[in-house]
Amino acid sequence: MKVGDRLALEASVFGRYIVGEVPSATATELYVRVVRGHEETLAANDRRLLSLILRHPWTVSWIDAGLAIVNPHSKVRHRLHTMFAILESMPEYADYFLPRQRSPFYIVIIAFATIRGGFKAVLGGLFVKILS
Amino acid sequence: MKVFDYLIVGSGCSGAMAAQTLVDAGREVAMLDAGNENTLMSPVPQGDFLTLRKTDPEQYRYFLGEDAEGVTQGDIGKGAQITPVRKHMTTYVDTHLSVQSDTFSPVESLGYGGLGIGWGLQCWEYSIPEMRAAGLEPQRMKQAYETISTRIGISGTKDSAAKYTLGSLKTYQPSPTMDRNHQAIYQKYAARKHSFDSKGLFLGRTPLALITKDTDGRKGYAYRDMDFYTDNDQSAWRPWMTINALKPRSNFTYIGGYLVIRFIEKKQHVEVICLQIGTNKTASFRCKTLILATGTLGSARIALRSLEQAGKQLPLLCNPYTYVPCLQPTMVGKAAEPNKLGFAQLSLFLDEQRNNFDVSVSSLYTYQSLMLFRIIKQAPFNLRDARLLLQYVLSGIVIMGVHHPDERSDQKYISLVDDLSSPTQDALKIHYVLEDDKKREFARREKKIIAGVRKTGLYAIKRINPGYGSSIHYAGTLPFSKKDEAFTLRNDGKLHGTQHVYVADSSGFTYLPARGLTFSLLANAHTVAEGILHNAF
Ligand SMILES: Cc1cc2nc3c(=O)[nH]c(=O)nc-3n(C[C@H](O)[C@H](O)[C@H](O)COP(=O)(O)OP(=O)(O)OC[C@H]3O[C@@H](n4cnc5c(N)ncnc54)[C@H](O)[C@@H]3O)c2cc1C
Repeated sequence: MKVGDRLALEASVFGRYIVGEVPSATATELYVRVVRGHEETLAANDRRLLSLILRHPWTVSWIDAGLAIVNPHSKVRHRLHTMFAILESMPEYADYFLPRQRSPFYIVIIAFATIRGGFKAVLGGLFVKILS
Repeated sequence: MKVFDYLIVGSGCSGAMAAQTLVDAGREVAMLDAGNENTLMSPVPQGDFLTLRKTDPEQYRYFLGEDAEGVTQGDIGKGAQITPVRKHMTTYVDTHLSVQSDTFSPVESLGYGGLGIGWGLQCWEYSIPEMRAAGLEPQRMKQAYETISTRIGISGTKDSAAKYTLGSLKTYQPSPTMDRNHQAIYQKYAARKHSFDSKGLFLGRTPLALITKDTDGRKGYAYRDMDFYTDNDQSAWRPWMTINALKPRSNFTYIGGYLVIRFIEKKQHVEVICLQIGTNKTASFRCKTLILATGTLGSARIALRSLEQAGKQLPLLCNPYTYVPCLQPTMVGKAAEPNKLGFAQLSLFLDEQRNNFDVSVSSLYTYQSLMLFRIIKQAPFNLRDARLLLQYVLSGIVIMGVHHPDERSDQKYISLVDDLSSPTQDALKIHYVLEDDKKREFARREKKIIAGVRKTGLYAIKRINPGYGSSIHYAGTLPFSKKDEAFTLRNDGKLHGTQHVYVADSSGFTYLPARGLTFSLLANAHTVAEGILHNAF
C-alpha cells in the first residue's frame, strides 16, 4: 500500500475510534500531510503496533489505553493525539469536544466510561507489553 | 556612519516603555531588535471562540498551526499559552540564544514585542517592602506605575485584597466581568472571609493590562475568549502596539533583524556589534547612549561578552512555579460559556506574616479556550474515554498557577561558555537549584493554599511542577548595587564600569516577589529612561 493510502486508512481508523465517525476528507488530508513527514522516525515497535491497528481496528482502543500507561510519549500515541487535535479543530466535530449541558444522570455514563477506561488501561498495558 | 543619540536594544516590555519615554521627550531614538514577526500565519478572523469553533473550517491554522505544530509530544510544561499564532516569539531562540543547563529551562524571545507577545497581562504593584528588597525606589516607582497604567491601560478592582493587587494605583479601569466559575469561587470566599483572613489567605480580582472601555483607538474587552490567539481588538496591551505607535514619529527609527552580540565603548560613541539574523553577517551600529532591554538573560549575555571576564558567574532570580488543575464539581456538566475571558480573573495571596512581604500568589483561570487536545495526553486513559470524561468535566476545570518569591543564593547563577554550534559561538550556562528548606517551605505553602481553595469549592486534581524556569519570570543578573562593581547597575540603571551603557529590563532587581514582575519592569524601564533624560537622581 502507498504511504498516502496507508496514512489515510490510519486517519479513518483513528477518526472512527475517537468520535465514532469516518473523518471528513479535509480532516483526513490534514492528517496525511502532517504525519507524512514523520514516517522515518517510527521505531520497529511503533510500526508493528500501527500495522496491527490497521489490520484489526478493534485493537486501537486497547493499544491506546495500554500506551497511555506504559509509554505515554510513544509515536503511536502521538499520532492518535494528532488526529484527536485535528478533529477537535474541525467545525463538524465541535460538538464532540465542547462542553455540553448534561443531566445529573449523565454521571452514570461517566462512571461507566471511567470503569471501562480503567479496565482497558490494565489489560491494554499488558497487551502492549507482550507485543513489545 | 550615523551615530544615534539613544539606541535601545529590544522591543519587549522594557524596550517599548523606555522608548516611549525618550521619544515623548523629543529625543532621537533608534531601536535595534532581533524582531521576528509572524509572517506565516493568515490573520485570525474576528469572532468569539464558540462561534469560530462551530463555523470556521480554517480554525486548525490558529488552534493547531498550519502543520499541527501546536500538537506537541511530551508534557504540557512551560508556556502552554504560547499558541501557534505566537510561536514567532521563540523563533531562532534555540540556535541564537543557546543555553546549557541540567536544571533550568528558560523561555526567551527574539520576537517583535518579546515575551510580551504572549504574556498573561497580570499587573501587580509591588508592596513597599518588596520594592526595597528588589532595589527599587518606592516613591519613584509609585509615580511610574501611574504613568505606565495611563499608557497601557490597567483594569482592576479595589476590593479587600487591593493592597496585594492594585496597591495605591489611582489610574485604572474597572475589571472585566468574571465568568461563572470565578463568580462562584468569589461568593464562597466572601461568605467565609474571616476564616480565610485568619489563615493569612486573601482573594482579590487580578489586575490586568486589559482595557474594559474603548481608549485611544483600542477597543474595550469584548469577551470573545480568543485571548491566546489574537489581539484583534487590541484590548490586551502588548509591547508591539506601543512600538507600532512610535514608528510613524519622526524621532524614532526601528531596525529589526539584528542580534546584538557585544558593545565596545569608544571615546566618542558606543559601538554595537551585531549579527544579521538569517545571514549571520557581522554588522555594527553607533550611538551616544546604549540602553539594553533584551530581557535579563539577554542583557547578561551582552554584558558578559562586552566586559570580558572569562568564567564570571552572575546571579539569577526566577519565581518557583507549580500549577494545580482543580475541579469545581458544581460547574461540571454545564454547557460551554459564551462571552468569557481566558486570562486570570482571581488571585489568592498567602501572607502569613501579614506584612505584604514574602507572599506566595496563586492565580486562577478557566481552561475552555485552550482546547482539550492540550490536556488530554495528561490523562492516563485511552483518548476515547478521556474525551467523554474531559468534555463532561471541562466546564468545571480551573487552573491554579502558584508563584513563590525568589531571592539570591549561591545555587542560582549563570555564566558564559563556549559553544561552537551556535552562531554566537557561546552558550549561557545556567545552574539553578532551590535549597531543600525552600522546597519544603513552598510545598507546605502549596498544601495550605490547596486546603484554602477547597473551601471555595475547588478540589486539586494534581500538583504539577513543570521545572525551574517555567514561571517565565526572570530577573537579577546585573543587580543594583551602591558599590561601583563590574556587572552591577547603579540605581538609575547605568552599568557600572561603563560611561554610556544602561540596562532597562529586570536585570537590576535584587529580589523577585511572587507577584508577576512585568508591571514593575515596565515602571523601572520608564524611570531608567527618565533618569537618562534628567541625567541624575
Ligand atoms: C506565556 C507568558 C505569560 C506571562 N504572563 C505574565 C503575567 O501575567 N504577568 C507578568 O508579570 N509577567 C508575565 N510574563 C512574563 C513577561 O512576559 C516578561 O516578564 C516580560 O515580557 C519581559 O520583558 P523584557 O522586555 O524584559 O524582555 P523580553 O520580553 O524577553 O524582550 C526582549 C527583547 O529583546 C530582543 N532581543 C533579545 N536579545 C537580543 C539581542 N541579543 N539582540 C537584539 N535583540 C534582542 C527580543 O527580540 C525582544 O524584543 C509572561 C510570559 C509569558 C511567555
